[in-house]
Amino acid sequence: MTAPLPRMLLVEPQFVLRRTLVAVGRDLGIAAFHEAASLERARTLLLAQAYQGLVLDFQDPVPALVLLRDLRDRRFASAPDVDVVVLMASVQAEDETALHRLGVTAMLARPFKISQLLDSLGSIGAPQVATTEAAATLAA
Amino acid sequence: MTPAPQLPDEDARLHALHTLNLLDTPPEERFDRVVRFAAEQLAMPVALMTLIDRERQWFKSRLGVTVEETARDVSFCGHAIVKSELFIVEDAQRDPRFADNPLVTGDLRVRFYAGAPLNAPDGHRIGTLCVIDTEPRCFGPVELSILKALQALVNDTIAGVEEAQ
Repeated sequence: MTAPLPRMLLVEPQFVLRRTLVAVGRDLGIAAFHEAASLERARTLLLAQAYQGLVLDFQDPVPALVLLRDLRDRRFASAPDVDVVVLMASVQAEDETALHRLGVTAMLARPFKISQLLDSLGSIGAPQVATTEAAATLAA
Repeated sequence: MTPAPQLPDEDARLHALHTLNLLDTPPEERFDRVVRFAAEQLAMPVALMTLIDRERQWFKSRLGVTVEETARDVSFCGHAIVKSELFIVEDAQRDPRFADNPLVTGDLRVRFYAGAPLNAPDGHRIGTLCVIDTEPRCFGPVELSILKALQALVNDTIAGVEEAQ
């Protein structure tokens, strides 16, 4: 039986990038992306269901940071420590510090290659795999 | 050179193409944005949305070439629409079907070609979304998946079902 793909929320306003990521994530068996074109839509989805990862557009830093703080403060359905990859127009030192404090997994500066984002998502869901492998080793 | 073939259902295919009213129309952002994205993500100097007419391939969207059309018989895309799968030529100079093709030996210097057939809503293959390089290339799983995703996006756009943004 095939394990379900990690469910991730993709917050990305650019239509072509967003739809391509959704399709590639599914096609390559990396992630089942739920998509949000705006932070407002993302907030609704985060309140409604839990995600194993978040890919977050950071073109509007203030509301993006508020959403991230709310995530870490357990105001959504997801675990507060889920992996977060941030997509930035440019990496500013001030934002970088704030994002590090909020425990983001990776920051990607635009324009980036989809393969770069997929690489940064590679570790999401890995703990479950590692745990399964460890259990199998112990059982053997 | 192997000329691009006519398809068995050529008349019906051409009817489907002409019914879409896309041939010889101005560039449109709904297609141009996908072609730009294909060139960026796949790191290609040329990306095109082509429509295969009876005797020519015409470029609805083009990046990296100045011509608006070429003859169909020399087109790579004319080969790509024969089947529904992606059509890849990793090194045209080493492929007997294309080695002496004027698009390979001439100014365009095509070496690598990857084309994804595009469908009319009735299923007829009317053209391609394709990328071209002047160097031999090899696509891995991510590149192939990106091209398939963009193919689906353009097909949805042709059918008028894409998101309006």
